[in-house]
Amino acid sequence: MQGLWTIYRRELAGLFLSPLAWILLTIALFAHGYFFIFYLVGVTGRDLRAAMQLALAGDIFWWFMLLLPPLLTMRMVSEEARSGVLEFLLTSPAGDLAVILGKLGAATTFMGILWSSVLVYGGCAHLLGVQPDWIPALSGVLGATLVSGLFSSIGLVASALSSTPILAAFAAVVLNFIVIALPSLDALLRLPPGHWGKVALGHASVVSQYQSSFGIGVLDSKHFLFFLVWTAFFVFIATRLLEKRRWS
Amino acid sequence: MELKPAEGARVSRGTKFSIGAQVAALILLAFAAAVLVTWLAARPGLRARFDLTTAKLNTLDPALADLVSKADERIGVDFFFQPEAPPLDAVAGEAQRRMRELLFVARSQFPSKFRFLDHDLTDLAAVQTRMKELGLSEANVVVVELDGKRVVLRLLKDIVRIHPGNPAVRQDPSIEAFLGESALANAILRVSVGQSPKVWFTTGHGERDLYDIETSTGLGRLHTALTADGFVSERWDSRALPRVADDVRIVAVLDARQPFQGAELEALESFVNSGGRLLVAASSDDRSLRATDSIESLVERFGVKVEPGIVAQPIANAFGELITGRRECATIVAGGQRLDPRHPVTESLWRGDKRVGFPNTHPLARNDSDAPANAAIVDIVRSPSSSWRDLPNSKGEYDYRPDPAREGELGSSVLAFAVNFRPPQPRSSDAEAAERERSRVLVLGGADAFANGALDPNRDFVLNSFNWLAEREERLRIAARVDDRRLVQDDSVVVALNRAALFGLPLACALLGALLAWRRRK
Repeated sequence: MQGLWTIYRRELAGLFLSPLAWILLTIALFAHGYFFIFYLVGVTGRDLRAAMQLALAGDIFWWFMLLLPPLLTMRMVSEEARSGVLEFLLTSPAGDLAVILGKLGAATTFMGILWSSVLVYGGCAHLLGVQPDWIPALSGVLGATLVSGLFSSIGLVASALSSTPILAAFAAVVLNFIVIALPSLDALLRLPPGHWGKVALGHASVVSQYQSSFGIGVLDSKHFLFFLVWTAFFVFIATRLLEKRRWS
Repeated sequence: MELKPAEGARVSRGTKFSIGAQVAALILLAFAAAVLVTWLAARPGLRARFDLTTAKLNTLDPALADLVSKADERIGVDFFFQPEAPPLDAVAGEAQRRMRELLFVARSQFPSKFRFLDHDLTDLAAVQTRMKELGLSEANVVVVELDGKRVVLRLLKDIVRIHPGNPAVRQDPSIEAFLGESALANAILRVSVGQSPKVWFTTGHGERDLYDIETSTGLGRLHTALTADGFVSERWDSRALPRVADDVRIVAVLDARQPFQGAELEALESFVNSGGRLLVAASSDDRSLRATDSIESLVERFGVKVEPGIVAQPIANAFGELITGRRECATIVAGGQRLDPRHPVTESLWRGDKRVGFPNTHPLARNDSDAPANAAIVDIVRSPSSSWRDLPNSKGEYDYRPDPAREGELGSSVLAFAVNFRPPQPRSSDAEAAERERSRVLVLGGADAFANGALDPNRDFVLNSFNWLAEREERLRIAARVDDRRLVQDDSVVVALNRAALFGLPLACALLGALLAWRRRK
């Protein structure tokens, strides 16, 4: 995987040297902090463990997943293709897979930094005498980062499909929405218990997979693999789309 | 796989189409591979699950997990939750939340073993249909079903232990212990172990009617409660068929006012002596006790004598004064120290500080001279020390007043005896199995405790009695589930967290971004 590390560093530097990333991070941290306090005081009756859990699995988490990865990844392929930078990348010794993985790694790292803010809140509480449940909190951050990887890979597919960043972001939001809301089809179609469609939708539910493992402090190989495998699938598609650019 | 054309080669439209088709096929293959890996990862043998919480909040107790893993079929769990009226609204909401969490954990740990249906009470018609199917008359229950057998768990009675609070000091009711896991385990145990125990209720001797739900003295509600608890209850005309069928687990004789025939008593004695279970609630008619072939004469052979008269106690009037001479004096309410804290029938009632009502109950006494060898005779319910044995006058009427000269001094009487002994004629021919067999007899001084009018407050006692007789009293000892809350009690900590979350981190991030932008510009 020649060039992966170089591309990862370049993408990360690109993200953090642009004002967009800092603006996004500031807004996201403010919103995340607001909801953490809301969960702590208004929902869980001041239960720190439950508030940290909700900050990494509550409704606001999925809104972040819907919107943030597309904004981060929208420029990663489409903008570079338009500005001609991609030409250099594709003719460099780095393979297509390394290019995609490097970009994915950068976007996922950014999201991981956002989710790590929960550990900062926990650290503050710890210093002030309230002991958080650290191991589930850490596994929650790990899980949130894994899910971010999945949504970022979808964003990369959208970015590789379009040469306009805004269009790429819009497409990624739509795709993310479909992925998140897919199991709701079950309620819409009123499928009876045991129906194969209901079972399939249950297995495809990103939300329930996450909330029955990382979201509650459980490390489950089934759910861990689920996120890895589907991230790999979208990375595969993004790589093929990047490769297609050689032919078009 | 990388598809690279040779240097300088021109790519035709056909080639492009062919490559496109290959890529599409590859994507389809990748999709299939992803589905396959996801499916394989969910297989029980290939799956590993670690609960990382300190209090193991996401793991079922090993005893319950063991039960669930042994179930051959999916365990159906229907739950019907709705808000309770004040002051129990907060307690009910908390109990519902914790029960839902427990069921979520159960499903998460054993996805293929459960079928959950959380009934949305907004769709009232559908819910009512389902409740009718399950024979439910109240909401806030969890119904555990397996292989056609079901057990109903009541939210505020079986799933949580409630501290009643104290309105005088504005102390609201609260949850003392969440027993959902224990209740679920016992429900699964009941529906998964063996067949539904069959109970025969004798008829033809003036007994209460098993299907009478109209009158307060009928047994219709008992029949419904037993069915919901997994029993099969039927009438038995012992005069027509003086032999207990092999598949009958318990014979119940409730308020038999007329004598039995010799063959009937022999059949019952033989049934008990070969490991059968007998429940006798004495006749309310004092005269029938004296008959030589009454059911009471049979229970004497098992070590229990039904004494004449009824147990009465003073009651408080509107001014708090203790009075006698009222019919209500004949209802003994037993709780606390009056219940045996070790016997399976009364242990849970004693632990939960519950009370049981015994209206019109004869006093009971031990009859050790006729008791079977090695019989353990335990008095499980006693009346208060302020009670007395009220004897009827020549017309058979009671005055509900103590008369020390005629009736003896005030003192506690036994209201229920549980007898347990090794059967003289065990059913099993295998010596080891025969050694384990036990006959059980439960004798109560009256049948009103089982009647429609008293069933609601006495339900736990009644069901415990039948479960003990059916040897289903194996209560799994599962500790109350801990709710691991890390409470931020101090307001100053909340303020500090508020500042860190809303201002500290976002501001630090904005400043860092501004610094980087300034340095780049410079």
